[in-house]
Amino acid sequence: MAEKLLDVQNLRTHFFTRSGVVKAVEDVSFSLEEGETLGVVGESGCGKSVTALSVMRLVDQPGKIVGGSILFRGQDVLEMDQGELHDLRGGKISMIFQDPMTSLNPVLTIGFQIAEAVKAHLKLDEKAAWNRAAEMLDRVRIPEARRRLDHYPHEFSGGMRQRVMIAIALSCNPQILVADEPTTALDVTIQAQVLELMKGLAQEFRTATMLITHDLGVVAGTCDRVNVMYAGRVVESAPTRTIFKTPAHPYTQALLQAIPRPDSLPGARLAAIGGQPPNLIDLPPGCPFAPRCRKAQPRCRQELPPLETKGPDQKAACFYPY
Amino acid sequence: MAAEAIDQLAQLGVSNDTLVDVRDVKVYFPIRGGLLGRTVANVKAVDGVDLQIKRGEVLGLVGESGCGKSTLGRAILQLIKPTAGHVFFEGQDLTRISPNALRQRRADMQMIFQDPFSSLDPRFTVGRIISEPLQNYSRGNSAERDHRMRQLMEVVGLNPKWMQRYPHEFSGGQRQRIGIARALALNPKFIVADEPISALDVSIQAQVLNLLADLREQFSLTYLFIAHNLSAIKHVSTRVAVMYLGHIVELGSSDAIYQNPQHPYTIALLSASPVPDPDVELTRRRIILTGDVPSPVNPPTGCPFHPRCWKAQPICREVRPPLELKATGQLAACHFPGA
Repeated sequence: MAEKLLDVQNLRTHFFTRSGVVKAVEDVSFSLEEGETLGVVGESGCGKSVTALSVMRLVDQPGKIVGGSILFRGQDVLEMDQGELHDLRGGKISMIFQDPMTSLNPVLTIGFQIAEAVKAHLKLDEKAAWNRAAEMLDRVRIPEARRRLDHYPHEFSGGMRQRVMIAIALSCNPQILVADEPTTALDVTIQAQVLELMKGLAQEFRTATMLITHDLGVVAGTCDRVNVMYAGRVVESAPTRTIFKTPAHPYTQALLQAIPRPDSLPGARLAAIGGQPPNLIDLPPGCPFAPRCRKAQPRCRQELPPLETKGPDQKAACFYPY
Repeated sequence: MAAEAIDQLAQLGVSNDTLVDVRDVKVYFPIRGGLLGRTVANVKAVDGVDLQIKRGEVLGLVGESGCGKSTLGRAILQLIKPTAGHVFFEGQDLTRISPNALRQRRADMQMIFQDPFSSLDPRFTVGRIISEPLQNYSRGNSAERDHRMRQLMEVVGLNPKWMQRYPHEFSGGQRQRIGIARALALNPKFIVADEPISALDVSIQAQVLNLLADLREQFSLTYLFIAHNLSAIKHVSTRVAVMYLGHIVELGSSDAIYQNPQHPYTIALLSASPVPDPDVELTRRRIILTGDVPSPVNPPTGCPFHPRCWKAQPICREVRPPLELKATGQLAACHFPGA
């Protein structure tokens, strides 16, 4: 097997707040290979977005990466200087955010915003950069791309804005695309358009994608592998099919049972997960899911289960899996 | 909708024991412009909707953002005055009664909001939020109100000890429970739940859906359940109405709509909604609609869906199809229904 594109080992990102240290990401390890799509699922506050931001070293005060390593093609991102980081962000790894309205600059034209990225990373001149911008808009299937370059973000609909974001993100041929809830703000029919587009472009450009979402349906249709996160940790990691067919961790099982499915019987009771996700400042000892877990034993409340191999290509952090 | 369509509804058994009867309701929002601030155009948020809600049922209302589903919900409760049409509640025309009579009626019709953060006053304690409706309608003395408030907190799964706490001390799911307790305070008959779970985490959504189902049974409630999540709608609803650009394009039993969708928009919506099963996702044929929802200021002529419809024929551009009974048992507004 070739060198891993991205290799994250034992990443720890903490936020030093007035009320205490929030361990947003705790001992997270994963890797990405060329052309692979990795889904990261979990509920709000479980550390999915902070993991993504850490990979690009975009974690802001009071947050800090306090441990671990992030290797991009063997080079440690945590050791990079400002110049190298500049090349990395937007050039080698680029990002799409959830809300396309707030992540585009409202006073600059779309063309300017795409050309800006292209000029910074591909070292093209003004004219070539605008040509590239038009080409990218066309690639994300925005009609009359050249004319639309002069338009401002407010002149686009939500789905079109998200496509503009994808155009910017892919304009510099990145090797990794980090998409943080890219379709959460969109309607289902528009979501289907955007996901289809992302899949097609990722295949065409051989871009590896890290797709952060809370929607298991989106994961089922787009990802090769899935990491399930809970309270700052990866609790299960496996190929998509395994996650859905034979989930090992009780949290993964509970998540799958809690969602109403189109083929489930109407009116049937959903298997809700009782309680709330824990407070990351004051985590319980042992397994963080133990207070909500149906299978919890005394041991779970004392000892932290490590993320271990439980089946073929499947890892889970649980003493009593399946 | 024409009289024959209403007859068709009667054949479906809709007319017996109708709690809410919506007749040709329109809600237009004027766009003012020019020097004199005259109305230059209208946003046709709801453009002629007929709908009957039976006592005890859960009617799911689905559609994408901007289709008018929330506006319709509010127009039924008279929180927005309909531009035209009638809303009958237990036979009484809410659009024609005096403000005082409407105020009395409001106790029977309550709403649960999407955002559990902005729909609760941050300066009120939870106890005060839940007992405010009782105070507004002078129900009981202060001890009785206090008792009722504690009872309501228990019913929705909140600890009555928390009554002195403020909304910010609660999580999203708990806040939604506070909103539900407030809606139940006056013993309503009818509840409009506008996207009650879409702001919540997956594990909490299931808790709230289960709670809503329990309450319906316990207090014989009737719900209009508004959502964009098709799986959630299917899970809770007995009947489903699909809205597009201010119109209801399909209406029928949950089974009929999900097993045999007739309107191309419903078909596309179902095929676009992701299923949490990789095998299903791998094999299903997905219909990807092109373009965006047209502007309700200037809706297309004929069928509102024709610019995005893969089956559109010349007639679709000219004649708006009526909502009529199809062979599969539901109502659909399409000239060429079926898959």
